[in-house]
Amino acid sequence: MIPNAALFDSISLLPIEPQIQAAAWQQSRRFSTAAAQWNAYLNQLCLQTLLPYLREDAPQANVAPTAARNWEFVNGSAVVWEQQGYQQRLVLVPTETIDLDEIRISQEWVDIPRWVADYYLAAQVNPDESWVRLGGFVTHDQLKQRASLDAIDRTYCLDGVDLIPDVSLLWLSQRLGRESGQREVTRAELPELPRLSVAELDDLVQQLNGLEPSHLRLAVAFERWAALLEHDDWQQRLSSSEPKQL
Amino acid sequence: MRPRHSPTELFSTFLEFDCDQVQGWAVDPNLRRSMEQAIAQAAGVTDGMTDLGESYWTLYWYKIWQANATVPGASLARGHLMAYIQETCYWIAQKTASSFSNLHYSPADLFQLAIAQVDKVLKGFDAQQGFSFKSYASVTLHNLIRESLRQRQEVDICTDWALLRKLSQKRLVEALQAVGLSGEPHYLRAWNCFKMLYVPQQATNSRQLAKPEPVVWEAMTQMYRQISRQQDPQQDPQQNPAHPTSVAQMEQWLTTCAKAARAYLFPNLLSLNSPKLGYKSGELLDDLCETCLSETCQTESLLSQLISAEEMQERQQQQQQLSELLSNAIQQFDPESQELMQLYYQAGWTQQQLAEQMQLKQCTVSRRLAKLRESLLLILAKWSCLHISPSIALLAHTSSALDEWLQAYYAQPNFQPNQPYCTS
Repeated sequence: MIPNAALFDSISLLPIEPQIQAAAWQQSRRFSTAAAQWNAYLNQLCLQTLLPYLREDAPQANVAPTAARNWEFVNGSAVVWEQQGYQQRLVLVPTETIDLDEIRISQEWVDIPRWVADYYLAAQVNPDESWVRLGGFVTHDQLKQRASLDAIDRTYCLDGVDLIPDVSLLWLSQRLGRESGQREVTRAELPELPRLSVAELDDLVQQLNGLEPSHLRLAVAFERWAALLEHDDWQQRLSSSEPKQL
Repeated sequence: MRPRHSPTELFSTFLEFDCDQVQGWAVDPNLRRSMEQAIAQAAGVTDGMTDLGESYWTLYWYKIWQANATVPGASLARGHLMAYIQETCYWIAQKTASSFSNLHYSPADLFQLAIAQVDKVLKGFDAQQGFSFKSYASVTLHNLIRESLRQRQEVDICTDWALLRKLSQKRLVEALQAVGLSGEPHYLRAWNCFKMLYVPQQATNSRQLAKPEPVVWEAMTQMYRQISRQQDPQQDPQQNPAHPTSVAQMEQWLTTCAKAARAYLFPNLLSLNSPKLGYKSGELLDDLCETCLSETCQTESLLSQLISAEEMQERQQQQQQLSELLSNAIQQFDPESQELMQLYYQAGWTQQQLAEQMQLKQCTVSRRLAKLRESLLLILAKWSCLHISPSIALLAHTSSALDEWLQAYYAQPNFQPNQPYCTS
C-alpha cells in the first residue's frame, strides 16, 4: 500500500498536530447533536491547523469572535486581519470529501453583510491521516458570479474548477496591492437585509426556540433568518443555539 | 518508442499498445488528411518561405479548438492535440508507474488514465500567457493522475458508509447519472438525510464507518418523510410508492448510491479511451463527415491569418525575455535553495525524501519550496503588469505559466544550471 500522502507530494498539505487533534475532539463533544459535534471537530482541525499557516503571511490574523458558536448550525469559520486600513475577512470552508469536484458554502457566509468575507478558502480535512490540504480559494465577487445557489439546503455550489488552486496568490495579490496602493475589488455588492422590529424579532425567536440547532437555519425564510443573525444579541435570545460549557 | 518528427506525424498518429507494450504509431486517416490540407494552405499563405514548426501547429490547433469548442471542427482540432500529446501521456505514465513500486496499474492503464483527462488540459491552458502547451499538459496531467490514484486508493479503504460521507454531491449526482438514476430525487434526498444524521463517533476512524444502528435508520427515515412532505406536499406518501415507507427502502437507496459511486470512481480503465478502437479506422472521429471537414477549412483560413509571423516572433521574444529573467533569478538563489529546486523539479525527489536528506521536517521543506516558488511568481507578476496591480484571475494564469516554465526549465536534456534557458 502506498502511503496516501506520497501520492500528492504537494506544497499544500499541512499536518495536524496530535495535541490539536486531541483537544479538538474534546471540545467538539460539548456541541448539541452528533452532527454539530462532527462539524465542530472538522472545523476546529481546519482552523487550528491553518491559522499558523495564515499567520506566516498575515501575522495579525485572528479568529472572528463568534466562529466556534456558529458550528452548531453552519460549516466554516471566519479569520480576520488588517490590510491598508481595511479589515480583511477569510472564511475557511473545511470539507471531508475525497474529491473537490464542487465546494458548498452556506448562504449565510455569502449573503449576510456582517458575515460576508473577501476570500473563501476550501480545505480538505482527513482526520484519519491527520492532515489538512489547501484546496484553493475564490473571492466573494467570483463566488457570486460563478456559484449557483441550491435552494434546498441554502448553499452556494461552486464547481471545483473555479477554485484558484494556488493559495499563495492570495498573499501575492495582497502584497502587490500594498505596493501599488490599489486594492482589488473582492466583494460583490449585496442588497441590504430587512431590519426587524423588536416585536418581529421576539416573534421569530419564539418560533425558533426549542428547535434543534441544525434545523434553525432552514426553518424560516432566509431574509428573516439572516436579519436575526445580523442582530447583535441574537445568540442570547436563541436559547438552544449555544454549545454547553464543559 | 520511435520518436515522431514531421508535423503531419506529430498531429495525426496515436500510440498503439499490445498488452502493455508499445507497438508503434497508428495513423488516423482523417487527421492526416486534415493536417496535410492545413500544411498546404499555410504554405500558400507564407509562400513556403517558412517551415512551420511544432509550436506553431500546437497554437494553431489550440486556437481552432478554442474558437469553436462546440462545433464539429473543434473535435478535429481536439483530435490533433490528442495525437500531439501522446508521448507526454506516455512518459507521465512511465514515471508514475516507476515511482510507486506496488501500484496495481500498468503503464498502459496509467496512459489511458492520462488520456482521459486531456480535456481538462485543453480547458485549463491559456494560450495568451502560457509558455508551451506540452509543458502545461505535462504538469497538469502529472497532478491529475496522482490525484485520481489518491482518490481511488481512498475509496478502496472506505466502507460504503464512509464513502457516502466522503463524496461531493456533484460527484454523487454524476455517479447516479452514470447508472441511469439521475431523474429520481429520492436517492439524493435519502443521502442528504444520511449525511445530516449519521457521523463518525471516533476521532480518527472515519474511513471505517460501520452501518448505522437501527435507531439511526429510524431517525433518517423520519427525516426523509418530513422533508418529502415539505418539498413536494402535493404527493401523498400512501399513493406514491417512490416515497419511503420503510427503513428497508432507505437502506436500499443508500446502498445503491454507494454502489454507483464506487463504480463511477473505478471505471474500467480499458473502456475509457482505447487507442486500438477507432484510431485506425477513424471511429474516434466518426462524427466528422466531409462537410464538417470543409467547414473547418474555412475557419482555418481565417485563423492562418490570425497567427501571423509577427505574432509568433513576438511570442518568442517575450518568452525569451521572461525565461532569462526567471533563470537569472534562480541563479541568484543561495546554493542550498538551488539544490533544493533542482532535486525537487529535476530529479523528481519527493518532499519526504528531501526532508530525510536535509534532516528537516517535511513541512519545512514544503514551506521553503513554496517560498522559492513565490519569489519567482512575484518576479513574473511584476514583469507582466508593470504599473498596474494585477487581478487575482490574471495572477492565476501567471501561476500556471510558472509551473510550465519550471517544468520545461528543469527538463532540459543537458541542463546546465548556469545557462539562461528559453522554452521556445
